[in-house]
Amino acid sequence: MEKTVLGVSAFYHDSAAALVRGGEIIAAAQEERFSRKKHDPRFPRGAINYCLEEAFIDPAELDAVVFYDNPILTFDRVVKNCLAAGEEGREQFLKASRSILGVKMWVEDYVRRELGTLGLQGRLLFTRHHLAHAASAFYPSPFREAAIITLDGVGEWSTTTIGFGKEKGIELLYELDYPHSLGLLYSAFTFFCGFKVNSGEYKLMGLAPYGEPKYYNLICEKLIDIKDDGSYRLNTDYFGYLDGLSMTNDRFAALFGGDPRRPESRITRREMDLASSVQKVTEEIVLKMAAFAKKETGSSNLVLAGGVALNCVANGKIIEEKIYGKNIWIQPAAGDAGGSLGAALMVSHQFFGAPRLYHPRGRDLQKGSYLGPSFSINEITAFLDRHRYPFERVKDKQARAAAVAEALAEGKIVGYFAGRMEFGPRALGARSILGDPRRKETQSIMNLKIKYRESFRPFAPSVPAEEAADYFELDVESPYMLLVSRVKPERTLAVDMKPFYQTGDMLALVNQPRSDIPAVTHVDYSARVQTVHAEDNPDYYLLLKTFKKITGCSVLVNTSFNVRGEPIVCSPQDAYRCFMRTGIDLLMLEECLLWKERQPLFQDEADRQDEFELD
Amino acid sequence: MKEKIAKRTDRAIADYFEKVLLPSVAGADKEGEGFFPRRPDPEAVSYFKRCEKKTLTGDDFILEGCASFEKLEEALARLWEGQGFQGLAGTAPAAATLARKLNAYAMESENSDISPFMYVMF
Repeated sequence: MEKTVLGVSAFYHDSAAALVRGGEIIAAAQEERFSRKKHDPRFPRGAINYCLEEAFIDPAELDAVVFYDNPILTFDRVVKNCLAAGEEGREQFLKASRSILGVKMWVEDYVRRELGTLGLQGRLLFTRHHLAHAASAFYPSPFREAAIITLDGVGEWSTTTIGFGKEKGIELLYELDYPHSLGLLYSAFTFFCGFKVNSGEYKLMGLAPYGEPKYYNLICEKLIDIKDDGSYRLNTDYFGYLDGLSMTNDRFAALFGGDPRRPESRITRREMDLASSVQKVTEEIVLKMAAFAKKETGSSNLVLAGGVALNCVANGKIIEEKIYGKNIWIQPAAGDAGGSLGAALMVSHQFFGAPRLYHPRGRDLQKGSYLGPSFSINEITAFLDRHRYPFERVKDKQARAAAVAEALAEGKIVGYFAGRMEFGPRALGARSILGDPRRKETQSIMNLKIKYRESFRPFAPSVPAEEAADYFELDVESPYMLLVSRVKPERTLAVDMKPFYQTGDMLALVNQPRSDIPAVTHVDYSARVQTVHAEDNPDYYLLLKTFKKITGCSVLVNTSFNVRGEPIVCSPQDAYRCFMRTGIDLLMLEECLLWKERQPLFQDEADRQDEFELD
Repeated sequence: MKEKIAKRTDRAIADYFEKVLLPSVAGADKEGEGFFPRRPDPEAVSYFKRCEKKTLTGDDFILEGCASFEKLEEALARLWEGQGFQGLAGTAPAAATLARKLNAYAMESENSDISPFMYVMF
């Protein structure tokens, strides 16, 4: 009989829940989408509630509930870290022990309170953090066997592991332990460049192409030693996270010419060059490790997870170097949220012995990562009618796609809400804001009037899978926007770098068209591509095809449906609120089209800027 | 009231750290090299170490130490004794006592501003 397992991740950042039945992923979602608190670390009541509803199961019927890491080993690490700092470890121990000893150790109590049960096992099960990451990468992948690499800030002790998966078994072979962490190194530079840790790493990656890796040698001389096999060790004298509450310390600052950048202040060449330098270090480690993993496992396939696996530029380099050819798969929810999924899969296969499932056409089992809630048309129209929000209902798919595509072709920005919500940080055409990539002003408009975010940040394209090679140097599927590749040279345009070199003003580059799809072409001519498969998302695929019929262009700008600091929208209510608070012109809620100019004055008690803390 | 409890628990944590934990490792290498290396080793060929725990099966998924304060004390003592840290193992009872206090505080001060709507529409 198929076993149903609920996996839970919580109390670090990005709490989540996932439900697996007989090895098949039924549901998964991040708590932030329900609580509306970005990166919500609290016990994921909302996400659990959703997973149970989606699976149509009473909590008492769960065959197992599993937590994604081992709090006892985490406490061991916290104690030893603080003791290593001596008396200076006191402040850190004050903060850490509250969380570990007061909350995390007793997660079983939380589960029992929230569910009223611990399922049929009568107790909560536990995995290990990096095994959960490894499982989240291997089991949904299309591979029967694969090398596994996990890289993050830290789990209990491990920060990096190399393993091997075959059929339903996973084994970790090598590890690196705290305090030596590529994730924490990247976070240290994220902090130093004035971005928020655990959410700003993506911005640092996006900033890197504006700079030169001028600090690479200094970083390798003073901060980190990288061996030929990709293993590394930090010089902790330069980092603040061991004995303080800050990622970096005065010695780090002295290396790079002064204090960390103040958040929200002007970004200078120093930050651009630091971003470029740490990105180069990261890519070097990832590439060396990928080669080592291949040698050690003998596998031609690679799967990746852990927060560092969201570094899609580094992932793209693995493809470019052809270490594994096209055979790479990355868990879309590669961070801690995916740990809930990995834990559930570990228990399914390693505890209950469920056989591995395989897609009949050799694809993955992540279901497009559309694993969250959907909303019926009745729910949506009831919501709209109750508030008297005017809408046009267009039941015919073709007509609806045509209406949306025409709006996009006219330069309108569209909030696109359809089907099940994505699991993971990327919007994939279920909770997306869409735009016309051909217009050079789209990037500025979307950054400043829609997302309210830093204007240097690039946008990402969606393209039908079979047409990706017409636009990008990409000959592998990239359904989850986890690979960066170059825009085809014949589409690119020369850029005048002089104004940027003279002034350091990034807008001097941003405002110059870099290709015939300028809104999705980053300053180094790269793009973070989503290849859309008709099987995964037929409606979004149809929209792309319809847009092409009208404009001749197969690409759309696809950014997440939220403003800066807000989680991606989950419900039609969230979507309407975001629509009315921004410059989005048209909102599509399944079959319902809402035009901005026809909407009533939006009565919103909270001010967006007060409600959402800047990320 | 919450502030009073917070101050008491801060005192309890500080006491545990200063009066129990720190003295338990007095005389050990101040740089913490006994716990983990802090700097690169130019002579090393690789920093990778073989995983002791390669995978989980059966009973590996069960953590008795998270079931009660008493079991936490046993689990910590066993862990640290197994690692050769006898001094730390002696602090396990105090750790369990602290856990009891901190858990009671956490239960009281749990943030209640979570959205009540969860998955429902409105």
